[in-house]
Parts: sequence; structure tokens; C-alpha cells
Amino acid sequence: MPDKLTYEEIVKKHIERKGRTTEVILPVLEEIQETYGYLPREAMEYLADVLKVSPAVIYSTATFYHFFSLEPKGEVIIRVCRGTACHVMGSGIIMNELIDELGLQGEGTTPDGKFTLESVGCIGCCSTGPNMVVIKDGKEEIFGYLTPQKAREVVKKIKEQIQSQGVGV
Amino acid sequence: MRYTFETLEKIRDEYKERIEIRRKRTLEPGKKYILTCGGTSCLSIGGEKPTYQLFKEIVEKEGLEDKVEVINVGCMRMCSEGPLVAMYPGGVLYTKVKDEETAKQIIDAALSENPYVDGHHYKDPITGEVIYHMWDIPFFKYQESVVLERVGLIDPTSIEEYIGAGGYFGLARALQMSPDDVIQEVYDSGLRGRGGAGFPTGLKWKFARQAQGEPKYVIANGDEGDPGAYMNRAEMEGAPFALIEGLTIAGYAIGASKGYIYTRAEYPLAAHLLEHAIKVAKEKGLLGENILGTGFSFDIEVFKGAGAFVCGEETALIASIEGKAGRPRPRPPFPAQKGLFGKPTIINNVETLINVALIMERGSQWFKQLGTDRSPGTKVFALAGSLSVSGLAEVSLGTPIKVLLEDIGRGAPEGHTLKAVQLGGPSGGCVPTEHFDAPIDYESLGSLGAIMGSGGVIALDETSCMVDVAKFFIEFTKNESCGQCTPCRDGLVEMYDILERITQGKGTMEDLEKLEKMAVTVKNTSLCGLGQTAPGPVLSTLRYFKDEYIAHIEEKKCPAKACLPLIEYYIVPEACKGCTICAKNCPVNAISGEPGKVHVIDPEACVKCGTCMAVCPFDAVVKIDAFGKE
Ligand SMILES: Cc1cc2nc3c(=O)[nH]c(=O)nc-3n(C[C@H](O)[C@H](O)[C@H](O)COP(=O)(O)O)c2cc1C
Ligand code: SF4
Ligand code: SF4
Ligand code: SF4
Ligand code: FES
Ligand code: FES
Repeated sequence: MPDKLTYEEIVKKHIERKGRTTEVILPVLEEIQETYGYLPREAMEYLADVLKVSPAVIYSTATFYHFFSLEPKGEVIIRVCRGTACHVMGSGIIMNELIDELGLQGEGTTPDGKFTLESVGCIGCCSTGPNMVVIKDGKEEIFGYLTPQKAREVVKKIKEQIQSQGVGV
Repeated sequence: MRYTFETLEKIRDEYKERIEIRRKRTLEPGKKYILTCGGTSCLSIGGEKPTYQLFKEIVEKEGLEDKVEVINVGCMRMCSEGPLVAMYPGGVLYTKVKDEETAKQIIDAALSENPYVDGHHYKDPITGEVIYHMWDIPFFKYQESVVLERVGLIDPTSIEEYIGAGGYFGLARALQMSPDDVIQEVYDSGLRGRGGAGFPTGLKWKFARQAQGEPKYVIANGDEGDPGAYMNRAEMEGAPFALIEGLTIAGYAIGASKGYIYTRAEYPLAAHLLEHAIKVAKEKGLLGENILGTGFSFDIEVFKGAGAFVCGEETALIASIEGKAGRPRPRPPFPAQKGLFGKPTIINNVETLINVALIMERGSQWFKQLGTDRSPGTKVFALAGSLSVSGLAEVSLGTPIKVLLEDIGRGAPEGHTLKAVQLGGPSGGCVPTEHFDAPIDYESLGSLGAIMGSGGVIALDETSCMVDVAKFFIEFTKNESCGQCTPCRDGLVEMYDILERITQGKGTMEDLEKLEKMAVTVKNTSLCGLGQTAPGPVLSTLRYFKDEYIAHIEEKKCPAKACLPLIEYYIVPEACKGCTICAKNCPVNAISGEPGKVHVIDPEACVKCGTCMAVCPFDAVVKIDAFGKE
């Protein structure tokens, strides 16, 4: 990955562009989430400090939106679409299959911190569902026309990739 | 270089031919244009490399640049048959193009007398006929091309191609009129908002123009919350300049100098293409300072949401841009009076604004010829669910529902029968087959208990349980409720609990009564549109499919065999050939049997994942009622 910006740099970048306005809150939090994989407490406090608002304002925003998480997510994020079209095409079964494959109890992160499994409203490929999105190394890939077996294979393949990378380093 | 009115015309004339060729429906000798679909669906079901790259590499490697031009375009509509590729002149459509070999075959064929490639054309699921040319395919033949005219036709990154296709002449015309005349033109067109409620766009603009307060803002609502619809996504990705043009016209009309395009976080490609288009439009003097030398200045920013359905509601959307949690506030005051940062603001759906650009280009009279008196124009729908062919469909308002489902979508896949269609997502309702003759317009759908909504159309067949569908939507709205007012926050939880009980066979007839009462209360007493419309899926299924609710309660049966607690997987002994495939695939080893002998599922161990049914080559696995079985 290219040089990651620190949260201070992210905040500075947005303030320089837009000024000290609350309009930067969402874009800043989004970029911190993308860069760090979650919203560190210090980062939210820093943003509150710079904007001269109470940290409670930032927390209230941070906890409201699904895309933010206050805890680190796995290296690989798998989002199974639970939108209507995917639901009627059987996304519930896909979700159960992946819960099983990852050894989870439900949605969440594996104990080794490798995978996070979550659901997403709809990713806008409803005609070719059921779908899931895999986010790995900052890249997003969508898999369509899934079957339980296909979904499992995708995850198995990623597991193998992670393993071979681990050995290689 | 900054454009003037004259350069705009020059560019149009220069690029017109390149675009016109892509509208030619008969084969002609000469240079070939190959359009590859770069829409998200096609990318997601494609091979390792994006289709565009496949073709581009071959053309470059073989030095065919003079004979073939490859252009990457937005969604070509028939997503279920993708990845799609079209060849012009002629409009030959190739389906399921995933690998280099197929790409090579297509290029060779395109350059020959016979541009067809076996196995890569549309085959009609009803007649079995193979149809080679796009506009002969029923899916396209029954559609209009107004809002989607340029989507899937032009390169979304090229402003010149957009201008060549007539783009920016709406803005040019608007800027030569007074803002009041622009509003009048939009008002006269009869255009109604495409974001769901159908409010007259011209009227909304009048209020905002008259409102006191500076600066004023305009916002394009691209939040597309309905979880099963993607028209706005395709519109933004396929012709981003069209949205920018429409929003700029809106800004000019109400006297705003700043606009926002609010898109979902789940749509990174749309945000990227819009940002690119904004940059280019600024370089060309079609956005930013002194647009087209008229003295009008206007800037646009893309604002990405962070995953909250309620932010599609206009006041929540505003709160979200202001950096707050997206909680709606009571209206009035309406955003046209007090909106973003307390200033007059108009919020319009993406498709509404694209229509505005077309109306300014072609006039309100042209627009009124489409659709019906009270609902003029067209609407783009996203067809999904149990249909043989699915994707985007644009039709005139007033078109019967069955044209969408049967003529365009070609009905349910073989072996299935449609029983209902869900329109309008979590705010909408389910319409049963006996009403498929009804015209699609705001009033008719409302009287059927559905809504036009933003355009999500999900076809449901006999395998969909209507109680489960209702539960699905209530689960969704319950999770998305901002929690600010009691009826919505607590009422939806209570409704969900009742639905959960019913789908587990534990519901009572009193539950059903309570459910209906609760639904009416939530509808009538919630603060914002989310709560007010959330009971729609329950009320409409209670209206048309009460028998399914009753079967769950009184017989503990799910007629569609979709509710897992009420069914079991069972191997029909007469049909089982003992091939062992199911046993090998069962994740919990719940299937026993020797090779060549009948296999048996242990219902205690089975987790009802459905794998055995999917893999059995002899269709020996079936679902049976768990209660009342012999
Ligand atoms: C819960 C909720 C979600 C909404 N989601 C959207 C949406 O995704 N897109 C949209 O254009 N309008 C949405 N709306 C409607 C907007 O509040 C608003 O009416 C619309 O953007 C106005 O644009 P129009 O007049 O062009 O239709 C939603 C409303 C509610 C109550
Ligand atoms: S109706 Fe629901 S979403 Fe709307 S304000 Fe009330 S609690 Fe929030
Ligand atoms: S439904 Fe799943 S768990 Fe049950 S027997 Fe079949 S494969 Fe095994
Ligand atoms: S896959 Fe079908 S035929 Fe084969 S053993 Fe299982 S039930 Fe029998
Ligand atoms: S419902 Fe899954 S992509 Fe839309
Ligand atoms: S994305 Fe290719 S046809 Fe829709």
C-alpha cells in the first residue's frame, strides 16, 4: 500500500480544503475508517479538538453510520448483500455458509483478526445476485451469481492466498 | 480550453457522427465500434480481466486500431446476460463475454461478413429464438430510451462524447433564459420527482427561488436507499455529465452557487466517475466560474454517505452533510425554506435532474408527449428477482406492470410462476398477479397499496413466502430506524417480533390482529417517511396474502416452503440413485447412505442449508412440511 496518511494529516487535508466546518466530519471519518480499518478514539478526539466541538458530537456521528466501526476489522472484509433481490435469490443461505466456513457464530470478526463477515444493504447489482463484496488490500471485488459452494470456494481461495503470503514474507 | 456557445456546437458537430453510428441498427461496411459494458454488474460476473481490457489488448496487439475502436460504456441494461458487448453499426449484441478467446472471436466476426458468434447471443426463454441484434430483443424492444438514452452508449469519461450526443445543450438553452422562465419550463413539463413521492419539480423550485436567504443550495439525492434497486447508480456511472448538467440548471434556476451530489458509500465507482466529470466540466468552463461566459458561477461537490438508509430522507441527508447523525427533523419548515445550514435548499433525485436537462434541451412539450397526463415522462426500473431476463427497464409512465414483467423480463424462469411483484422497496408493497394489468403511475400504484418509489421491481414466484418478505422489510426498517420517535423505534421492533413468531409457527390469530393495528399506528404517528411508509410491506401482504399468514398460524405450514423452522429437507427414496454427491457436500454430515443405495437425511443434525437440494443431479431432495408430516 502507498504511504498511509496519519489521522492528523487527514484532518489537516480536509480542513485546508473546506475550512473549519462540520462539513468535514463525515469525509474525515470515512477516510480514517478506510485508512485504519476503524476509528481510533484519539482520532475522533483530535477531530473534535480541531473543530472546537465536543467529542460527543463526533461519537454520535461515528456510532450512527454503519460504515464506521470503533473496533478494528479483519484484514479481509466480506460483505454479503442482504438487499431484497439478493434475499429472494437466497443470500441468507450464503451468509450461513460463510459463517460456517469462517467458524463464526454470526456476523463478526474471526479471532485471528483475518476476516470480518458482515451484511450490506444492497450493492446495486441486483440483477446478478446473490452478491458479495470482498475487500482485501484496499481493493473491492464483487462476486455475483453466487451459490453456497461458490461463496465457500472464494473464501477458501483467499485463505490459501493469505497463507502463501504469510510463508513468503 | 474553456467552451463558449460556439465551441459547444462545433464539438457537437465533430462528435455527432461517432455517436450516430452507435444508433445504426443495420450492418454497414467500414469501421466497427465495439462497446464493452463497464457497469458494476457486468464487472462482477466477468472473468479475471474487465471486458474493455480484453478487447483493447487484442486490438492493440494485432494493430487493428484503424478498423476497430473499443469504447467502454456504462450499464447496457440487460445485466443478467452480461458481461455484454455490442458492435456497431448494426447493434449486434454479444452476451456472457468473459474470456480472451471469446473476445478474439467477436473481433474476427465483427470484421467479417458474418458478425455473429455461436453461443454468445441472446436466446429468448419463451420462444427459444436466438436474436442477434439488440433492438430486436424483446427486453429492449418494449423500452423507451430517454433518461437512459446515453447510458451504455457513450464513454462516461468523455465530455466530448456527451456533447456529441446532444449533452449540455439543455444548460446552454437555460442560461439564455431567465431563471423564472427555466422554472416555468420545468413546471409546464409536469415533471414529478423520481425519488418516490412524485412532488412537482417546478413547484419545489418556485418555492426555493422565492425563499429568503443566501446562499442557496441544490442537492442531487443519489443515496438510492431501496435495497434492491440500482437505477440511480447506473445513471450516475453511465452518463455522469447528464446529472451535473441537470444540477447546474437547478442551481441557475433557484439562484444557488453551490451544489452537492450525495451518493451512497456502497457506490465507489459512481463517486469516482462523478468526481472525474466535475473536474473535466470545470476545465471546459461548463462548471465553476463564469459558465459559458455568461457570468453564472456554480460549483459541485460529491458527498459520500456512510451507510444509513434514512439519509435518503431529505432532512436527514442535510444533517449528514452538516456532519451530524442522520436524524430527520419535522417539516415544515421544508428544506426549500430552511435547508442546508438553515438556507433555502432543493433536493432532487438523480433521475429527476437528468430529466430536467432533457426538458431544457427539448422543451416541455416534447416531454409531455411521453407518459400520461398526470404522470408525464418515463421511469427507469431495476428489474430483479424471479425473472428470466433482468436489468434496467425504462418505460413510459402509464405502461402496465405486466409489460415490465412479461414482455421485457420474459416472466419467471422455467418451472416457476410469478405470484406477486414488490414495488418501491421498504416503503412500498406487494402487488399480486391479478393486478398486473394496472398502469404504472403514482396514483394507480398508490391505490393498490404499493408505491412507485424510486424504481425497484422485484418479481416474486411461488418459492417466496409473503410473510417472510414482509418480515424481511420490517427487519430492514427496524435496523435503519434512527430511533428518534417511539412509534417507529418500538413499533417496528414489536411488529418484527410478531412476524418472527409467525414464521416460526408460533403465532396466534391475536398476533395477526395486533400486527395490523400496530402497522396502522406506526404509519399514522411516525415523524418521517421511513416510519410512515415502513408498514407498507406488511399492510399490502395482509391485504392480498392473508391466507399465507393464516397457514403459518393455524397449520404451522409455510405454503412457499421458505420459512426454515416450518420445513425439513427430505430425500425421496424412489428418486434417489445413491450417487453420494449430497452426502459429500453436506457441511454437517447429516446425510447417510451407501453408494448405490438410497440416502437419508437426519433431521436432527440437518442445519437446513439447502446444499443437498442444490447439488443433487436427480432432483431427489425436496422440502416438506415439518409439522403434520406422515
Ligand atoms: C426513508 C427515506 C428514504 C429515502 N430515500 C431516497 C433515496 O434514496 N433517493 C431519493 O431520491 N429520495 C429518497 N427519499 C425521498 C427524499 O426525501 C426526497 O423526497 C427526494 O429526494 C426528493 O426528490 P424528488 O422530488 O426529485 O423526488 C427518501 C425518503 C425517505 C423517507
Ligand atoms: S419515523 Fe423512524 S426514522 Fe423517522 S424520525 Fe422517527 S424514528 Fe427516525
Ligand atoms: S440441508 Fe444442508 S445440512 Fe441439511 S442435509 Fe442438506 S446439505 Fe446437509
Ligand atoms: S445427490 Fe440425490 S441422488 Fe445422489 S445420493 Fe443424494 S439424494 Fe440421492
Ligand atoms: S439486492 Fe443485492 S445487490 Fe441489490
Ligand atoms: S452492468 Fe452491464 S448490462 Fe448492466
